[in-house]
Amino acid sequence: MMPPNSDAVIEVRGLYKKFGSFEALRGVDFTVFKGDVYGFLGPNGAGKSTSLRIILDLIRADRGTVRLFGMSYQEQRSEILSRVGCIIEKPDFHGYLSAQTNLELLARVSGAKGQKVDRKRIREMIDFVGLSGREHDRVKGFSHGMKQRLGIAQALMHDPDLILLDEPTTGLDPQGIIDIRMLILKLSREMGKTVVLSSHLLNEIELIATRMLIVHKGQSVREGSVRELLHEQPLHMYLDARPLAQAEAVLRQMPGVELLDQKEGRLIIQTPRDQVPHCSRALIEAGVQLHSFEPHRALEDYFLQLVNS
Amino acid sequence: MFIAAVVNEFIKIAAKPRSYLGLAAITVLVGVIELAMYLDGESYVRLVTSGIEQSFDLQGSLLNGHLMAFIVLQLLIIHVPLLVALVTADLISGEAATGTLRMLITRPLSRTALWMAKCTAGALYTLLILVWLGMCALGISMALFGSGDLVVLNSDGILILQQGDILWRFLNGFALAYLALLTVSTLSLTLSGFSSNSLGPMVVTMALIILFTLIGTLDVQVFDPIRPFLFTTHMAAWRSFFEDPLRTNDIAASAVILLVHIFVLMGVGIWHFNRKDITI
Repeated sequence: MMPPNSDAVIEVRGLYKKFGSFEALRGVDFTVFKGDVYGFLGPNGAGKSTSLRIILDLIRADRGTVRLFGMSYQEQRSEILSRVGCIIEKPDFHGYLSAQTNLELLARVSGAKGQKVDRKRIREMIDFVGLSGREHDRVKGFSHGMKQRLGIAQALMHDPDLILLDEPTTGLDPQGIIDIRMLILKLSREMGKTVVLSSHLLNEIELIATRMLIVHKGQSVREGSVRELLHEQPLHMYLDARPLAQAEAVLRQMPGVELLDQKEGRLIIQTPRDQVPHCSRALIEAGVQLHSFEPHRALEDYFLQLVNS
Repeated sequence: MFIAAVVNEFIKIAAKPRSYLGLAAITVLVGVIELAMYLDGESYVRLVTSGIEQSFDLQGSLLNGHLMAFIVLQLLIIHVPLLVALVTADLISGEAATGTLRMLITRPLSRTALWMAKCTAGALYTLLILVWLGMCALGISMALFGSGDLVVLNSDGILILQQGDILWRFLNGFALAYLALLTVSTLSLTLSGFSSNSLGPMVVTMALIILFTLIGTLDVQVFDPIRPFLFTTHMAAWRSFFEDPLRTNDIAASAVILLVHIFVLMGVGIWHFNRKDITI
């Protein structure tokens, strides 16, 4: 039995789950703290959804412990779930019912001790996700984006402290992706919610998450703040400059800088982060025309390095 | 919370078109039987009573509302399980198929309470179907054919029940028939928990009813020990209320066996649902 951490919203230790002969999880550990936007990153089939389903008590782990808000499902299932909102994979609704009736059905069983349907709150949520005017339409006529919005409405309807979103931007158009991203930031920064976000999209996690876990083949590979993880490794920079040969010569003189490759008229270098301003200055002072000097997707490199090792 | 969940389940049942199939089917079937008997009922009664006319002198018309209700029930009660299973087999598997079960289970409602809410909603729907059947059978029959004594032809002989001695028999018969239908409802709900499409549990429910009925009908010694314990053996037990004297021990035994089936199936259903991994 792990000691409960008072700041921890989710504490997961040693999760193990087998489906038939397939080991879906082989030891997942992580802690989500209050106010985190926690990224759950891993390739398809890494165990992200299985972990989230165990956290939501949809799946029972073969081994390991899960505590939410310091409580366990064995003791206080209703208490826990009344404080959690979620979208797992894709939000599914009764297509033959209207958006409002679907929300009413869920609202009726969302409070810890049961509650009357708060139609005002449902109206607010429908407005909040931009579905005003469509609330009386049957959900079967909704697009994927509209269902996703309705999914967010049902996840937030009971004002939960913790929100779990499993691949929330899957299938959305670019505007929809931006909207979801902004919404997550708003939930975290303005409303003080704790958000757990699973994704296989690196830039999504990099842009939104404050802390993250990388899972691979059912195991936790690395956990920490996104900033920490990015600073752990040398930075890869793409340099577009003229003349390129002169730029190369300047950079070869810089301590700690290593020339990795040359692609499509650009140099790829590896450098300690604190050397980046010195490199820029040296190049300009040497009369090199600096067209662009930008970091490569650092998290992508880091992720691939972890996964491949 | 439990009542809220039952209300939810009944709203869902009420909103599904398939829920009205059963009511529509009963209305049409009763209507067809009533119409046929209204047009040519006397010859049907003559055909049925031809075997006893040598021993009895039957005066007047035997065809009345009570007899019609009895005939309708006898003809339809074996089809009603299909109409019940059409809805109850979908209660869990239908939600698993559409993905709504996932959202429902992440609400602060225990799985046992959720299963029981579905079971209660299914039981209410089953009651609605049976009440509708009763209303159609008794109501339309009495309106078309009027009241009168009921002549029941049993394997033992002929039984004439006085007009004032009939209604309580129908009510008790319906109560016992309800237990039989509740067994079917619980069976299909339990099977529904094992599946993620509603067709499977419905087909399996009907297949089991056919199989058990076959076992009950086949005069083969090897099935003798299990025959009394099959729920299908007791599905027609409602007819026992139209005997005189009443075989109360047999009626009680049927009720107990059906109740045991219901509770065992509920236990299995809840046990499995509590351990079920929601992976879709």
